[in-house]
Amino acid sequence: MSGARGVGIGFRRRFADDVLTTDRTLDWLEVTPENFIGRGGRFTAAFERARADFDVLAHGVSLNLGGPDSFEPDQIEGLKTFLDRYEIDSFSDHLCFSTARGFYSYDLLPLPFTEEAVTHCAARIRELSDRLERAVYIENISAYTIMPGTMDEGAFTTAVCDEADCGILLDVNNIFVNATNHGLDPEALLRSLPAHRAKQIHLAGHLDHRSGLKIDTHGAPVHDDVWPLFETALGLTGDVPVLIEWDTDVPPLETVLDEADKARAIYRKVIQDGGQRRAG
Amino acid sequence: MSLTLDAYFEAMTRLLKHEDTPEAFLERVGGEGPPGRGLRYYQSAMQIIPGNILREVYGRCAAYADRVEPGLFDELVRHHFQLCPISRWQIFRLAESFADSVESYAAEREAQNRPIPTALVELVDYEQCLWLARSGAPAPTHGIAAPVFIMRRYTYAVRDWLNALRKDPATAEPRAEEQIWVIYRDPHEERAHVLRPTPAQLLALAVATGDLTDEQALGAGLTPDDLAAARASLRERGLLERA
Repeated sequence: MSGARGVGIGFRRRFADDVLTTDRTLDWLEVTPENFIGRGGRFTAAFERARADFDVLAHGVSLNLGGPDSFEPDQIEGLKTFLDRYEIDSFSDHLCFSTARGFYSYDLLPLPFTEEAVTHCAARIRELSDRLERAVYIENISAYTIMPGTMDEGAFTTAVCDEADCGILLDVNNIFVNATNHGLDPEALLRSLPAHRAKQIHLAGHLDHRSGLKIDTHGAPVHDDVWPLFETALGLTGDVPVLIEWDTDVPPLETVLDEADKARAIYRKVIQDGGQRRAG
Repeated sequence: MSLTLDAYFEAMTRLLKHEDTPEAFLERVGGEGPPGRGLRYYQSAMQIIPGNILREVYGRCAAYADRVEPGLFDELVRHHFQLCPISRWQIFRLAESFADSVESYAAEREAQNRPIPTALVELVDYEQCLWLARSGAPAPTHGIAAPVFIMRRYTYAVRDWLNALRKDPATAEPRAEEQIWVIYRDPHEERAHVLRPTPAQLLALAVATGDLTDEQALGAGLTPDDLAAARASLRERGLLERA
């Protein structure tokens, strides 16, 4: 099992070498396998060195878990080889689709909240888990429109996790973004998701787009209003690894670690001082 | 009638490809009310995301292209995706073959008597080579120790120009000057490097790759000492196996 605990950050090119030399607290790293499969060079070499020093979790962005197309054999093979090589014992990706009938959007697109979609996604998650020979868990996405369906996000996500018997990566910023964009109460949306199945939490910054939408860019500090929601979420999930995501307009390592320190203070307050146990 | 997943994916694909308006999408999926901002955002993202990837890799080229002709880089991006439709799960592969697409676009413009600068075509190629040396998959070349090894002959001093553009995006187009460059990845530090090879180093590389024999290289005017010194310098740089 992964030993990742506490607060980690995403492993990014800008500070790939710096994570090896920093004196500051850094509990673990998250890596996006797509940044390494079929590539090489300095970034890959830096990750190999970092892997020796840190616990690592893997988070994908292109498995197209809810999509209609079959998994691509070279993608699955490349991913499994990567996870095996670096001894990463689980994998997460998003509860969404990104490719349909050969059309690659490179975006995380919403699914309709229907029974058919529940059955479809759960089967795909089980298939992926079997093919990767490790646990797969799913992240709730930021969605900029609610598609027609027969249930809400909480019921849909819970049904998928139950039917696939998988964990959830609870993205607290996405909960805040969705609630704000769709006129919902963030805490009510959080409580509707299956927090008892949480394996990890994500925190990130978002953008106030000119359209009036909040867009999940991972390119800014965590919004002030998201921190209290994170504290509530951690109280529901128990002790799970927490990640600061910063993927666009990536700042120096020190800035990302400042955000990690803020998250760690809340983590210590809720988990260590509050006596919360690790979620099962 | 409830929405089937099949119908949903069909409708979404049409929306994202701009084959349907948001209004037509809602009609297909049975949604109510006027289309929200979200559907338009998803449509716009389909054009922005691939373009951003290319701007990230070819940032200096993009700035220069838009100086030559406002909107030229977007035109190059559109031409690239017409020639090389997106068909891979790996987003970084969008940046592959961009130099070929730009060359093809330049030929089209030349035929229309609306040429674009050759220096831009060469700058794109040079940035692509650097990107491959920095982060591409290893692509071994017979006789060469560097995991990525690319040799190019340019008619402009693109290396100095790119360095100048990094400091000042308004730097003027460089002078015409034929130059040969080797762009490669150091096998030890895994960093991208460039080398403007001397004639002796060029001959030593040709011998290493099997394009010339020692005798042919020596017949080109080199002494055995020249060849040995060239090989030593290439070993030092990680291009040839260290003894």
